[in-house]
Amino acid sequence: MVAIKKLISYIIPLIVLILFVMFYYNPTGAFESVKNVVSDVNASLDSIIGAEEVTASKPTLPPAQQADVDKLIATMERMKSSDTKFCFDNYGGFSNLGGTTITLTYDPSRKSTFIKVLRGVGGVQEVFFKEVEGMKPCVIAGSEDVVETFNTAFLNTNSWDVKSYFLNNFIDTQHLKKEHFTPVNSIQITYKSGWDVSDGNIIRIPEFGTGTVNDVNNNLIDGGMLYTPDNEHICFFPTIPDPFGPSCDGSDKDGLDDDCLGADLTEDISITRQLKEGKLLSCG
Amino acid sequence: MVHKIHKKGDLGFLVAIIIVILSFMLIAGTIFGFMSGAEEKEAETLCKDSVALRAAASFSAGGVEAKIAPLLCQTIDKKVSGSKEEVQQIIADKMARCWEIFGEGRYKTSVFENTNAFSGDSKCFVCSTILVEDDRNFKGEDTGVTALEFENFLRTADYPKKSMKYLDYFQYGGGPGYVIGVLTPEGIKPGRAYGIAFKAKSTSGELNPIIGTVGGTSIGVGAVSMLVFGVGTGGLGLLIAGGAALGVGLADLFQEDVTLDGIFLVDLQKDIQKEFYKSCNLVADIAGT
Repeated sequence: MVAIKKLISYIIPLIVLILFVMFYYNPTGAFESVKNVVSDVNASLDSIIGAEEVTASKPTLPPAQQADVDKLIATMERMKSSDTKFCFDNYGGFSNLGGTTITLTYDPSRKSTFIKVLRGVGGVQEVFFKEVEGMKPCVIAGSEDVVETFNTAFLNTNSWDVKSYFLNNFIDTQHLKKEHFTPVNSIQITYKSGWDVSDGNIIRIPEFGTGTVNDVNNNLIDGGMLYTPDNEHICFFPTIPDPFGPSCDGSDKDGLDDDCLGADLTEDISITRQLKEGKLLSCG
Repeated sequence: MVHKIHKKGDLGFLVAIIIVILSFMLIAGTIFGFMSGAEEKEAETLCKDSVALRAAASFSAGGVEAKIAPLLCQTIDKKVSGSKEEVQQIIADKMARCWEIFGEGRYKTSVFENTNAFSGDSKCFVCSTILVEDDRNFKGEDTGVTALEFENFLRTADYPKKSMKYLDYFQYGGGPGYVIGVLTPEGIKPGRAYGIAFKAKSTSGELNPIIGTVGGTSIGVGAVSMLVFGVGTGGLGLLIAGGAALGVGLADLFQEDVTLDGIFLVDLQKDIQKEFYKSCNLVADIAGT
């Protein structure tokens, strides 16, 4: 009798335990239900408690823009190593630089120009950097005198021999020093658009302040042209839209008329046309 | 005979005293050195933990986020010396540590704002001030580390703790970020002091990439830019390579609403320091300074 009582006192709790386990732990049991409720509460708490975080990834340039930058650097290196003075070369121009800024900064202590490309979050992240040794940036702009002297030297129908005589005897000499280019410390190239501006790539020279080059929009219609007088200075061409119609005749301190750089395909004194005809020298 | 023994005994005692004193000085020096380093580490850890707790304990409802845990951070003053390379490494490490402490740019809203309900000016906290002292390899009369040199250092040197370049760490090691240096033409050199500050993102919500403008023309300040400021006619202004001055003041840098967190290295030259403390909307440390 005692044995049976003992057996019953073990069996009944065992059966109750089995029932509880089945009740809670079967796939559709109470325990699963409790888990679902708790995880729902947890998920809603996650969206309430704790600061939202952001992540970042390595910023990159779109392939087209990277190709443009690579070509620019290759062209500059070629111009630097050329033996030809007063020559021109073509880097191909820039595609739409939306979201990207290219800066060229000259460091006199290293006698180098640093090319920095910014893009990424906020357009301030550095995605590319290159030091071009022995190169100084310049522009064909900055003053009426500089642009006029450049025009006189190159934008005419004379043969190269005549132009060369003029350059070697009247320009950049101690006898009659007339600059036909403006050395600068930094250049920025980016894209600008807006309801009140002409959309397009722009070139800016910070040290010019406002009033010269920096207030002209869509002013890098340069046909991809670069110029070097001495294989050390490499000049960009800020441009201005032609106020007088299609022909190379409206240059001023803000730069050359874009028709002088090939915007007008019929213009016979444009740099692109003269290079084809051998009236100007190519660096490469 | 007794007299000689006494003399020998006295000598031995003297030697023992000298050894004890020298040992004490050596041990005390080691311990105090360890403790001062430990104090700095402790302060940094406390600050970092308070920032993390503040973020973890923030509460969002209806798009409004509220942070209730306080920041427990203090500005650490430090003297450093060494060769040019070593000094650059130390300063870069302190900048990276400051970035790490304040969340590496990972938090969507400013770590300093208690709530984003009212968007305000972005605030700064000075993590550390560093005094560079003379060293036999790098003295006050030597040419300093130029702004471009240090910029290049951040670009090319590895930050060992994160196995990436310093610039990469600031740009995308956690969240997105940037670094700006405000130096004088003398650069980084002994005899000068520098502040390292964390500038929190603006909560104005609009992505504004332009940092510093000259009459509408961006000066193209990028993710790492070591800028040189000089005092000339018209006051303190930004110089570019070659010394040409732009009409950009420090206020243009510090008051811009930029939606990225950033780290500033600032030469604590009198005019720059004055402008920095005026422009940066500083958060006081736990000492109340």
